Order: sequence, then structure tokens, then C-alpha cells
Amino acid sequence: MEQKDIIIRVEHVSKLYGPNKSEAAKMMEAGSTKDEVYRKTGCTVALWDVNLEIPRGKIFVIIGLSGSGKSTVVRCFNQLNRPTSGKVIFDGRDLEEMSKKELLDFRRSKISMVFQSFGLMSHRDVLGNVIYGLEVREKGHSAALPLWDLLDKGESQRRAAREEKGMEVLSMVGLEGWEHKSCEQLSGGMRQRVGIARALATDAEVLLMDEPFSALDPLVRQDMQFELLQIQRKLQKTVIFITHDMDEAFKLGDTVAIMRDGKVIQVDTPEQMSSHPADDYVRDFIGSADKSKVLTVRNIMITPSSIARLSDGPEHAIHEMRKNALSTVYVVDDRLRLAGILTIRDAIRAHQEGLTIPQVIQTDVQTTTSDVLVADIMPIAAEAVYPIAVVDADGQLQGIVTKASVLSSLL
Amino acid sequence: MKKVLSVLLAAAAALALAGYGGSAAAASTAPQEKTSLVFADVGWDSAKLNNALAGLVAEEIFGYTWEEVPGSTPIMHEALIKGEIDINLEEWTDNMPTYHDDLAAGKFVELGVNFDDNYQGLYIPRYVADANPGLKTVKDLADYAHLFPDPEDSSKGLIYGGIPGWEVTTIMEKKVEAYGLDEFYNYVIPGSDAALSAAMTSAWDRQEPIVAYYWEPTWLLGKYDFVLLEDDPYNPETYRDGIGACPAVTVTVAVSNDFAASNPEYCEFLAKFSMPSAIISEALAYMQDNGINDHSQVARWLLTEAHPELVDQWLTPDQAETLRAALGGEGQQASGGSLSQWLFNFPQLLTIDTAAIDNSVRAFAVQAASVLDAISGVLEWLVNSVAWLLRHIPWILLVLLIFLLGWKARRSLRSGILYGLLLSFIGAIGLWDMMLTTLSIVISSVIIALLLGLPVGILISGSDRANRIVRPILDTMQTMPVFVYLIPALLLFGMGNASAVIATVIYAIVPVIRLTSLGIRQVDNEVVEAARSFGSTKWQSMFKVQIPQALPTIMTGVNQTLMMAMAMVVTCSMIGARGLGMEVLEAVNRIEIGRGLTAGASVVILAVILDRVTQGWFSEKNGQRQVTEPDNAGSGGKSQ
Repeated sequence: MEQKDIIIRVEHVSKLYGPNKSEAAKMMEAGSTKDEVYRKTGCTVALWDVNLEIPRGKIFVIIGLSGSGKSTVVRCFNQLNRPTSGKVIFDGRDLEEMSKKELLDFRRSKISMVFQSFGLMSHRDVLGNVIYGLEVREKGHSAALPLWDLLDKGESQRRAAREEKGMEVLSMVGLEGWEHKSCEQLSGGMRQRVGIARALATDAEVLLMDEPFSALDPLVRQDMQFELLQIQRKLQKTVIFITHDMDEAFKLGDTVAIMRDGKVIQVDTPEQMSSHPADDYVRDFIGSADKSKVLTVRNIMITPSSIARLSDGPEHAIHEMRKNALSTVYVVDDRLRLAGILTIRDAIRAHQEGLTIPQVIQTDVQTTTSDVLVADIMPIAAEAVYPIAVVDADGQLQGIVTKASVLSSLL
Repeated sequence: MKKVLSVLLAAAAALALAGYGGSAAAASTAPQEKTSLVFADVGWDSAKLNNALAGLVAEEIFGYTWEEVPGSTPIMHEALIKGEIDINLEEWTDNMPTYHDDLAAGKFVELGVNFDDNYQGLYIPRYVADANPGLKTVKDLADYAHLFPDPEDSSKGLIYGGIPGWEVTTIMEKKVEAYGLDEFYNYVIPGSDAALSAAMTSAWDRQEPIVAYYWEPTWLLGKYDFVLLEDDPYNPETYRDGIGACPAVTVTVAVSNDFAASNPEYCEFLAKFSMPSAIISEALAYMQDNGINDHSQVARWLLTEAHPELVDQWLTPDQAETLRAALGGEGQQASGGSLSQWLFNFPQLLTIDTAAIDNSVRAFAVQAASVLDAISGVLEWLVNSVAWLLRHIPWILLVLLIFLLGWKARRSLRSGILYGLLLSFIGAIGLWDMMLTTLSIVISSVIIALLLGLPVGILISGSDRANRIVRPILDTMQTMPVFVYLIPALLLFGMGNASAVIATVIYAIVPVIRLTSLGIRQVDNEVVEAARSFGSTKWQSMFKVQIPQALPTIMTGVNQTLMMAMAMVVTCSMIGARGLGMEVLEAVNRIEIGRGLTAGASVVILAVILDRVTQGWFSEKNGQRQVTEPDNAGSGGKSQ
């Protein structure tokens, strides 16, 4: 990667909590594990020698289990946590060297953050939350007491300007009309939209998102992921996204970093990572995270409750369908090879017009084989009108896969 | 038949009793001799000294043990009638409204007069008398009101009255009116003996003028040179209306009926027991000067060194001999120490020089007088302003206000009406003005408590170190018995509202500090992180985020502080805070149960109204009304 594409560079960052930090650091250098160090020194190693390069304008996902240090590292990016050692360099500036005022300015204009449990201020309405970042960076508001703001003359114009900006980002996340509602009145998904709007309002280049969708239910989460992608494409923000969900990581990430016990194990594109996992831990993580990449059609197919033969009369097929409450039935030849599918409508037409089954069946049927991964038939299943037929190499019907069984297999 | 049976039964009972007594010859109806005596401790030093003297005799001559039970004059009187107390060596007959009736009814036995050479009345310090030769009599006071200004009422002087519940307290009040002094003076009841003596000693220490009711024999008049203002001659017809000097109160020795019957021999000694006021004052001053706390020690000193003649007055020659021998051979007793004694009596290793603490506090009160006076001036001004404001609201408006607040806060018309009615009830039973007084002290105290408590709460929420320092102080403030700092407050800030406000603030400030700190600490960490992540300064995140988020908890603290201030105001009547508390105190001291109950009920009503109104208001302002919306955020967002 070229030098200019990197917006944040993390160099040898370690974060230790507790006593005996230097002793703990020595033990870590000697190759002890986190647990050993804790037992011996009482010092918790949250991060150890983390090196990352965050490319500008992309979504960078950091994934790991809880306690892996992913939240700690993201808080080093805006100095909510200060690393015990190592450097975080933002556009060539070492954050550690910033003065207090520079750090405030940095947080106010360059970087913003979205939180797992939203971090909304319940005493402010939706708009009040969104414009918080704009408010604190204005001069008059560096004063201590909120009351003093009232005495400030230009305040009402500036307030209007802030609110205009707030409304703009609120409409971007689809919350127009909600600006004066209390945050308590919103659902989880809407609250996180407020969180995102608040982070966007300051026009920060970098968005830190600490498991922003983990508290949401799956359907809402998918919507939010989709919208995040749209927003990112539109605004070209650099997003650093924390998650523990591999699907989410692969779906969103241009680059994915996987962390374990305070260390970064692998940084790669999703494709590279799934095809060349660095070690068994990564492989297991990917595997356990996405069942559809492990399950095959054999695991989920079912035996059809009823089939028809080419030689059957339409009346028999209608009888079979009525008996089993079906609207379609698969038709096989005398060697059980799949011939096509017969709908109840066609069967009735055949009965009325005196036709035979081979004359009315549809033969362009979606088929699959039993050793195919569930992940691979997912797109077909999503669009299929009828259940998918599973056939063997000879074309014999082995079973069927319904849309329901494909989708539910991921649960 | 029945009669015969009962006589037989009585005889059997008497025999059984006599059998236990071990003396068949004494098988009369005389009850068994009591060997552990219970003396009344009415609270002041002379009574304790008398008890110690009589107790010494009881121990050495009769081989009894004895103990004191503390309680106020009327309570001790009741206890004597019930037989819960055996002996009261100081029945102040004129201070007990029911004394003569009870005596006539045979409810107890009067054995003799302890002393009747004591004076009581209005006293001024010697230096005031010397500086103002024209001020000799009570009536002269009319021209000297400017000498004794009332800090709570600049237009008048201040006369410190008697102890609540004493008959003489009312007599003095009548005297002030009868002599037309009420035009120039306010007559203020100081709430307790401790409060009155503290006011007098602190005036003495500062060499300030004071005019106060006091009485002999007391250590105070034994130690300090106060001058009794002259009055018209004693007139038994009119002195109860305040005209003419009070008589020297006859202080009698009284015992319960049972005790008179059971211990006739000891009662014989008690009948002869008498202690002239002069000797008592001498002994009490000796104690005060030598920092002695043990009255028994002084009793020994009196009977061996100072006034050995008392022994002969009180006792038969044989008994006197025994006592002298016992007192002389004192040294031998101490040597009887054994292992078991050592094991069960914790050896005293340290003697804390409490007298030095007393002196330093009093010296400080003198040295820092100007600062202390300024503080108490500000506090007095605050209370007076609030009181002025309250008194300028027509009562009907106040009731209406409470009705409206109650209605709004509780969101129920019925509550509003109920609170309005309850408040009117206080007025209807004639306690309206006292309620306003109480309310003004409560409001002032809460204002001060919040001004100090909120910043401290905020400070310790952000600093573990400050928290570690402040926590034990808060614990102390919460658990230290209030009387411990009530009297020093009085020494430092004078009697009345200023001290009451300070004591109330000490007592009531704790919840607002604790809950402010707790509320701020409990704010969701992510919310605080969010504030920081957007570049808030410490002040911004404190005032724009943490405090507003903690507001419900902080308001609970404010409400608690208000309630505790309300509770404390009653206690503060002990140091002269006027209002409902003083009414309760006076009633209790006179065992006027009904009066106490009505005043007490008014306190409760006021507290309940304040609690409900503020609580409702806070929760309405901050309670997040939860409107659950169907989770349609996803679809709403998608449609755009």
C-alpha cells in the first residue's frame, strides 16, 4: 500500500492495567501468555504490540471475542485510552505528543465515535444529541455553566446553524420528523441512527464504531449494515468498525483485522482471510461464525412427502396433492430420474382438457446436488418459487430443499 | 367466711415474706428493705452532687448500692410517684406546677427541705453592673435595651428566659410584660439548661453584656460573678403574675411511698440531709476549676476537707464515726486488685484532657469572635429574610400555592386538596406563625446545605482521593450525636437561628453530597465517553452531560436533605430555635401530652407536604415518560 493512503498508523501499541507494568512487559517479551502474566504480576495486558495501518476512505473492521482488546485499541485512536507504550499516528501526527487543547480539537473535528449502547444523553432530545459535538467546539460553550450560553449574544444564530446541520445528518439517517422526540421514545435501531448522525454531524474524517449494531436485533442490524455501506460510499469516510460477528465483518470490511488476547493475529481482505486463514484460531473463528460455509445441502434436504410419475394420470396427481396439501409435486420417470414439476393448476388443466402429465409439466427446474454448500445455494433459494430439487449424478431425485430450510439453517 | 379467708391468706403471705427476710420477729407488714437505691438525676450539677453525697452515706453506712436515672424535672417527678425512682433530692417545688397537689394527695413522701436559701431571677455579669451603675433593678432594664441587642430583631433587646416547662419561665415572661419591658425586649426561651449556660459563659468569655434568668445553686453562679437584678419585695399574692421578686424556691427531699415504708432508717438520714446553696456553689466551682468530673470525688472532698461538720449534722454520732473511719481508710480499698478485677475492668490508660478542649473551643470563640459574628450575622439575615418573605404572603395564598403544587406535582386534584386542607389545619389550631418560623429555618438550612453540598458532591464524584477524605467526615456528621455539636455551635455562633442553621446543615447536608456524588458516578460510562470523544472539556462533560444525567438522583438527595432538615429543626429548639420544635419541647417538659401531640402532628404534616410536593415536582421534571413505539425504525429508514 502506498504511504499516502494510510490515515492512521498504529505502531507497537501496548496497554497494560495494574501494578508491575514493567515486569509484565518483560514477561510478555519473553513469550508468556496473558494469563500467566496476570497470575504472576497482577497486571492485565489489554493490548500487546499492536501494529495496524488504517487505509483512508475504507471500512476497516476489527474482529475478536470479548476481552481480545478490540475496544481498547479503538479507544487509543481518539485517546480515550492512552497506550502504555507505542504510537498512534494520525496523518503524520503522533497523538501522544498533542497538547490538551490540540487533543480536544482533534476529537472535535477529526474523529468521532459511535457506541455499542448508543451513549445517548437522555436529557437531550434527538436533535440535541446530534448537535452535541458541534456545541462543545464553539467558544461560548467552553464556559462552565449552561446558563452562560444564554448571555452570549450570537448564540441564537449559531444555534440555528448547528440545528440546520443536525437536521441535515438526521435526514441522512432517515430520522426527519423525530428531531424533537426524547431518545427514550426511540427503538434500538433508531437510537443508533441518532448515534451515527451525531458522529456524522462534526464532519469528522474518521468514524470509530464500537460494536454499533451488536445490541440490535438481526433484521434491524441488516438494515443498518446496508445503510452504513451506503453512507460510507457517499461520504467516503474512514470507518473503523468493531464487531464480534464474522458475517458482519466480511460483509462490511474492506480490510479485516482479527484480534486475540490483545494481539493482532491477521489483517487481510475478507477473501484472503477466508481462503488463507493465518492459523487454526482464525479458521475456527470463520467456521463457527458462518455455518452456511460448513453445512451442505445433504444436511438440510428433506424427502418429498409425495411424488408423481410420468405414467400417472392427472387425476392421480391431483389426488396426491390434495391428500398432502401441496400445490406442486415433482414428477419422476420410472427410474426415479427427475422429469419436471407439476403444479396443481396444470394438473387440473390436463384433467379438463384430457392431456397427459408429460404434456403439462415444467421441465426447467432448479436443481442442486447434495454436496453443495448451503452458502452457495443461498441466492438461488432466496429467489426460487418452488422448492429446489436435489439430484445425484444420474439425475435421480434424492430430496428437496425448501426456502425455509435453507434460511433457517443459519440460526 | 370470706373475711376470715382473706386474713388467713394475708398472714400466710406475710409469713412467707418474713421467712425470706430471715427475721421472724419482724413479721409485720413492713416491706423488705431496699438495698439498691435509685436516685433521680434531674440533669444539673447540684443534683448530681447531692446524689453523690447521699450515695456515699448509703454505701459506707448502710452498705447499699446506688445508681442515678437521668430525666427532666417533670419526668423524674412522675417516676417518683410511680415508684420507679426511690429518691429525689431536689424537688424544686415551685417549678413543678403539680407538686403541692400531689403531695396533698399522698402520692409521695416529703422528708424535709434540702435547701431554701437559693435565689433566682434575672442576672447580669459583674462587668456590666460595674459599667452601668444605673442598672440595679429589673425595672431599670427598660433604659438599657441597647446593651442587649437581639440579633434576630434589631429594634429590641434580648432577655434570656428560663428553661422550657419550668413554672418560673412563665413567671419571668409575665414579669417582662408586667413591667412593660416587652416594649423594649424580646423574651427568648433558650431551649435547655445547657443552651442557657453556654450563652452565659460565652458572653462572659467575650465580656459581652447579657441578661438572663438563672438560679442558684449552680456551678455557673459559683464560678462566674453574676449579679442578681433587684426586684420589688416578694409578695406571695402577686409574684406568680410577675410582680415582685420570686421567692427562694424550697427544694425538698422526696422519696416514693414504697421507699419511705421499706427503708425508714435511711429516710431518717435523708430527713436531716440539707446542703446550703453556698456550699453547693462552692463545691461545683471547685469541680469546674479542678477539671473534676466525678461527683463522688467532690463528695469525699466536701465531707473530709471542706465541710466535715456536715457529717455530724446528718448522722447519728455512731454513724458519723463509721463514715469518718471509712473515708479515712480509703486507701486500703484500692489495693484489693486481683486478676479477675483486672480482667473484667478495662484498665484506663489514657486520660484525655477534656478541659483543655473546652478551654480551647472557648478561647477560639473569643478570638474569632468577629468572624463568627459575621457568619452568624449572615445566617440570621438569611433566616430573617426568608421569614419576612413568608410572613408577607397572605395565608390564603400559601394554602392555595400548596394546593396548586400538590395538584401539579402529584397530578391529582385530591392530593392538592388534601395538602391544602392539612396545611390549613396547622393554621386552624393556632400554630401558623410557629410553622412559618420553622419553615424559614428549614428553607435557610436547605439553601446553605445545597450551596455547600452540591459542589462537594460534584468534587468527590470526580476524585477518588477527595472521596476517601470526605467519606469519613460524612460518616462522622451522620452518626455523631447532634447534642455534641449543638452546644459548641451555640458557643461559637450564639443562641438561636444561626446555631440552629449550622447544626441543621451539619446534620442534613450528608444526603445531598452522597447522592450527588453517587448520581454522577452512576452515569452510564458510555455516555461520559461519548461526551469526551466529541472533545468536551471536563467542565463541559460535567455540566452538559454528567450533572443533567444524574439529576434524578441528585434531586432525591435534595429531597432527603430537606426531610432531615425538617427533623433536625425540632432538635434545634434545644438551643433556642423558635417555632414548632420549641412548642414540642415546652410541651414535653411539662408533660402536656396533648399540646406536644398537636405540635408534633404539625411537624409531621409540614414534613409530609414538603416531601410530597418536592418529590412529585422532581420526578415530574425528570421522570422520562416512556412511550413505547413499535420498532418500525428499520422500515422507516429504508423507505427514504
